[in-house]
Formats: sequence, C-alpha cells, structure tokens
Amino acid sequence: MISLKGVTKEYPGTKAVNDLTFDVIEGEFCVLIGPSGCGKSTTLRMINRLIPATSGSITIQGEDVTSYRPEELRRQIGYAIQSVGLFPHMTVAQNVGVVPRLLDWESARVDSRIDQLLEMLNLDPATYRNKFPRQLSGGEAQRVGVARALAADPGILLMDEPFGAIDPITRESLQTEFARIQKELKKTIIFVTHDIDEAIRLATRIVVLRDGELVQHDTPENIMTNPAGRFVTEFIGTDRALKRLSRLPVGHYLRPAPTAKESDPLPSVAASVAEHRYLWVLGRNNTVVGWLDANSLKSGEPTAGLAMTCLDFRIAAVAADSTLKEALSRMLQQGIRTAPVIDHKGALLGEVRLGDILDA
Amino acid sequence: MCLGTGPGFPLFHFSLSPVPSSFMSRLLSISKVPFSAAVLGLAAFLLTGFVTFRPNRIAAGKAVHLTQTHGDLWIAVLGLWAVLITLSVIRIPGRWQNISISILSSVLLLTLVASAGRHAAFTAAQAGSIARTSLGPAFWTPLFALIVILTDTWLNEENGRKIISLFIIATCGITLWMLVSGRLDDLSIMQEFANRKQRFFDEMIAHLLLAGSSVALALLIGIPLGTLAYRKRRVYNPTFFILNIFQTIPSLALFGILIPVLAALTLKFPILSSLGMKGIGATPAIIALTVYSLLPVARNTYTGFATVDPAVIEAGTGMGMTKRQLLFRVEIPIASPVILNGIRVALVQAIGLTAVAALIGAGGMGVFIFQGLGQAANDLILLGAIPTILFAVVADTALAGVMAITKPEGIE
Repeated sequence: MISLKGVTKEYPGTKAVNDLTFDVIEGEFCVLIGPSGCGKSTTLRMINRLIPATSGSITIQGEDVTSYRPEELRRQIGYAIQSVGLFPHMTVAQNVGVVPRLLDWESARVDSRIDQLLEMLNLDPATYRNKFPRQLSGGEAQRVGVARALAADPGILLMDEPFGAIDPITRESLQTEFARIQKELKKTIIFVTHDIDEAIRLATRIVVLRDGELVQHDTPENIMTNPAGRFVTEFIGTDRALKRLSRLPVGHYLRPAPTAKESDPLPSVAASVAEHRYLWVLGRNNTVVGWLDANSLKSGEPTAGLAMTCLDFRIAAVAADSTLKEALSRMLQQGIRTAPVIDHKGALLGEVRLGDILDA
Repeated sequence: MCLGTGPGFPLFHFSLSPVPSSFMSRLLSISKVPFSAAVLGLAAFLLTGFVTFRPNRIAAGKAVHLTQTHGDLWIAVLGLWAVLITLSVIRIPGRWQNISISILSSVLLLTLVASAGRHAAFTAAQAGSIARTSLGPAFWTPLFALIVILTDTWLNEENGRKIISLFIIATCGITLWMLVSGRLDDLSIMQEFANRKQRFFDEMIAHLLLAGSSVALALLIGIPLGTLAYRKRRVYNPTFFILNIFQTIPSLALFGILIPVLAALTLKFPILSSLGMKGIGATPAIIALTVYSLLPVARNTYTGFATVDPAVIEAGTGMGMTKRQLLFRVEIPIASPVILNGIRVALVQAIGLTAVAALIGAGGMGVFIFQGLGQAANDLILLGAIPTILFAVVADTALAGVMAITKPEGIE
C-alpha cells in the first residue's frame, strides 16, 4: 500500500502540489488525472524520489520512502515514461535486463526473464531480442519500455503517460493488452494521464487533481455518476454516458443467438426464421458468414448459404472482450440493432442487442 | 603558361554521336573521381617537368620532362596511365572496376617513385654528387592524383575493401623499402635528409612529443571542462567564450605573446626557471598547443553529452542507476563517438601547428621548413613538410580506426 499524507511540493513562487493526501491499495490501478500543470507528474516523481517533496510523507508498506537509498527504492519500483527513454546503445534485451542486472541477478535468470517479458508484450523474442531501439516503431519501443519497467517484477509500477505519444489505434490496442497483463499480474499501479477515456478504461480508482490539489478520489463509476463539482463534470465531458459504456464488457450482455448452417436446405429453416425474424448463418468453424430473414426465403435458392445476405465478421461482429462502447460504434456504423459476438478465433458466441446497451 | 603556343601536344577527341546511346552506356560509364584525377595527372605529365635538374644545390633549375628521363620506365608510366584512363571510362561489372583501378594505381605509384629514383641515380653518376635532382610537378601531381584515386576506390568499394587495403599497405611497404634500401638516395630531398639524419630523427621525436603531450594535457583539462559545462550551465558560456577567442588568435601570434609573458614570470618566480621553464622553447609551445587543442576536446565532450536524450537520463535514474552507473554505462558510451572525434581533430590540428612552434625554438619538423625557407631550398622545406603531413594522416586514420572499433552498434 502506498500512502501520501499532506504531500507538498513548493517551487519558488508556486506550489506544484499542495497538501495532497490519498492512499493506493495493493493491486489497485490508480490513475492520476488532471489538466497539464496540475501536479500529477510531480506527484508521481515524488513517490520514487526523482523529485524531493517539500513537506509531508510518502510511505510504501508503512516504510517512509526517505528511509531507503534513492537507488535502492527505485529498483523496487517499475518506472515507464511517455518518451520511453530506451538506451540507444543497448539492444532490446539489454534494455529490458537493466534493472535485473543492477540487482545482480544471475545471467541465465535475466535471459529467461527477458524472453518471458517480450512474449508477454507480444514481441517475438527471436525477432526483437537483438534489435536496437532505433529499429523499433513507436508502439514497439513503448512495449519494450513497459517490459523494462516490469523486468525485476516490482510490486509497484509508476507510469507517466506511457501511451501518450503513440497513434490512437496503437494506443488503444496497447491499453487493451496492458489491461489484460494487469489482470494477470495484479501490480499496484499509479498511472498519470490527461486522457479521461484512458483513465476510465484502465483505472480501478481515479484521483482528479487541479492546481496541485485533490479534487476527487473515487472509482471511475462514481466519478462519472457523482462528479464533484463543475470542474470534474467539465473534465469528464458531455459524453460521460458513452464513457461509462467503455467500462462494460460485451461478454456480460451476451444473449444466445438463433443460427443456421450454410448447408441447411432453405425450407428446413423457414420456421425458425418466422419465429426469430432472422438467423445468423454459420460457415466453417462456426464463423458468421451472413444472415437470413423473410426476404431471403423468397429468393428460391436451395440452401441457406446461397440465400443469405453476406457479411464480413471482421467488420460487423464484435469481440466478446471488447466494450459496449465499441459494440455501439459497430452498430451505428453498420446500421444494425443486433450485432454478432465472436471469440478471438471468429466463432459465434451469441449476440448483443442495442436495447441492452441503452439499458446498461 | 600559354597553352596555345606549345609544341602541340596530342589531344583526345571523344566522338560519341555515331554510336547508339544504349550500346555506349553499356560499355561506357565514367567513374568521376578516378577519371578527373587521371586526366589531371596526364595534363601534368604533358605540360610540366617530372624532375628539376640543378648543377648544384642553389643553382637555377631546369625542368626535365618525363619522356626525357633516363631509361625506359617512362614508357611504362605513360602506358599504364593510358590504361588507367581507359579503366575509368569503361564499365566493368561489380567490384572489379574499383579493384582493378586501385591495383593499377598502386603499381603506377611505385613505378613513378622508382623512375624518379633511377633518373636521380643516373644524373648523379653523370653530373657528379654535387648535382641535384628535385621532384617536379609532373611527379607530385600524378602522385597526388593516385592517392586521391586510391582513397576514392577504398571508400566506394565496400566489397573490395580488403583487397584494396592490401594493395595500399603493400605500396606503402615497398615505398618504404625503396627509401631504406637507398634506391632514392640520389634525389635531392634524400640528400638533404642524409646531411642531417640524426637531427631529422631528433626533431621528429620532438615534434611527436610536443603534439602528443599537448593533446594529452588538453584531454586532462578539456574532458572534465566539457563535462562540467554540460552539467553546469553557468560554466558553459565563459568556457567556450574564452576557448573560441583563443582559437581565433593566429598560432604565430600566440607563440609570440607567450614569450614575454613567460619570460616575465620566470624573472618574477625564479623557481619556475629552475624547473626548466623559459620564454622560448618547449614551454610556450606546449602551452599554446594545449590551448588550441582544448576547444575541440572540450566542445566535443560537451556536445557528446548533450546528444544524450534527457528521457534516457530520466529513465536510467528512475530505474535506480546511480550517477556513476549512469555516467559509465549510459552517458559515456553514447557520447564516446563524438568525444573521440574531438580528440581526432585536436591531434591532427596539433601535429600541423607544431610545425610553427619551431619559430620559438621548440624544435620539431618546422625546423627544416624554416631552414629551407631561409635558404630557398625547396627540398629541405619538403623534408620538414612531408613527414608532418604523414604524421597527421596516420594519426587521423588511426583514430578513425579506433572510432570504428569502439562505436556502439546501436548509435547511428
């Protein structure tokens, strides 16, 4: 557990952080958010003592951070920043292995840890181990940066806008992956961002800061339903209903879907179409290839596969581990009220309905 | 010189129009540098003297054309030169174009030196040992052209670099053997050398010691100074302001200024003179050379550290590196290519400037240059100048090698 009590950072003429008090419980994903200059990065850097606090105390598991040597403290805490800061003269493997080597791990243990981390971050070790930072794309470099922060398996991870400099598409996939990794690792994370969508998507708890002071400290749900005052309301923005959807997984709103096989003779499915008004048509491996409705029955084709309206599941279907916000977006884009839900191989799991999303 | 009234040298006319261009472009492809250098060398052969003959050391010289030199080697030189020009305009597939050009250049270089030595020996036998044979423009210009061609092919042919390097080393070795074995002893420059052999080696050592110790001192002061300027902004401006000013002072003037300053100091503090400090000689030379070497060393140290991305420093610190670990594992490896380059510039510059230090009695190869200037003896000037150039080239190449070996792989 990390505990900040009355933490203040004064610079000549200004208080960057003023009397900040909050706790981060073990395993929590705590996001510090606020406009630029609100003191969120300063707060983060006071925890690993890159910046000394003017007054107040910061404790980790009850021990004051100032009771450690700064280097000793920092080696126990993972640290990832927006500009990554990979060492350009070291390979990806050497970069990831920095902290384990500082901690005098045996080289065999360092090597296996490097491969394990690269795999965890979807970087094939054989391909990436010996690459140099200049040979990586921005997204790849940031993955290596996160792997490096996780290298010595620290209990605590400090991240300062780690996905801030990456293009939106890569950022979203990194966020999804990172959420998955966090589910496995259950680290205590303090994460700085100015992107409210990112905060709502990842956080279990959000600390909203303004001018160095704490404005609200609560779960994302509570912050969205009960924002503390105009500042937080405005900061969340007018689309907070939509933002809330980004926390709800499609899997929880799954309904069984009526289906037919491609090879089914058309007359044999007519009753089913009449009952459900439509059927999803499944091809090989249970992937969705199209749908049937009353109009398709009139086509006179012999099988469901020939009579159906085709669809591409990569465009029209939503993944079970994506969010209701994404499902809604797909529906609006395709002009449909029901979307098929698939697993990561493309097999149909069920469907999600617009009505359910609106009621969520 | 008026070219139009000359004895009518043969001119080469390339008439390309009657041949289809696709056919021509398959056969012809001008390698620009070798071609230009070879044409320049040919012009020198045709228009200027290969050696200059003087009945004695100070008499007026008479140019001797390549074709008038003793023996038949000149036929080989001109014949091979024609082949060289041909090779530089035709197209040979792959790496063999550059390799064949460089092999031919090596052979030509040796032939050129050998024919000069043979002609000098012949002249000495004919006109007596008091007669002088100096090397002329038709020797130096083609020699320079060949060196340019060898450098160019070495740089451009990565696939043949080993073979080309081998030939360059062999050429240097055989030239050295010709020097040592006495085959060139009758050339005027070698006679100047023979007359002051001991002095030559003494001054060579003095030269290298002056340049080497100055650069070593500059490293001892400049690297910490550059590091300090990088760490503390307050040090940066005054440091480089002063070093830049020193750099603009002409070397001759700085040597001159130091004489009265040091003389006054030694008068005031006799202990200094008992330590060997004098207004003239090695002390002012080393001071001035150190001051000149400081700027490249300190500036490149500063620049090298400044190229380290602040994010890298933050990441390293945030991961728990100590200042010392950060310096030795991160900052120095990243900055080292730039710092080494500063040392390289400082060394080459110091070797050149040391030649001037002879004027204030510090010795070095400049002694021969200034003696030669005083006596209007060009070969004595060359005896001082050529080794100076060679030292600089060797130092430059050696440090380039060190840089290539030590450069961290991940840095562009």
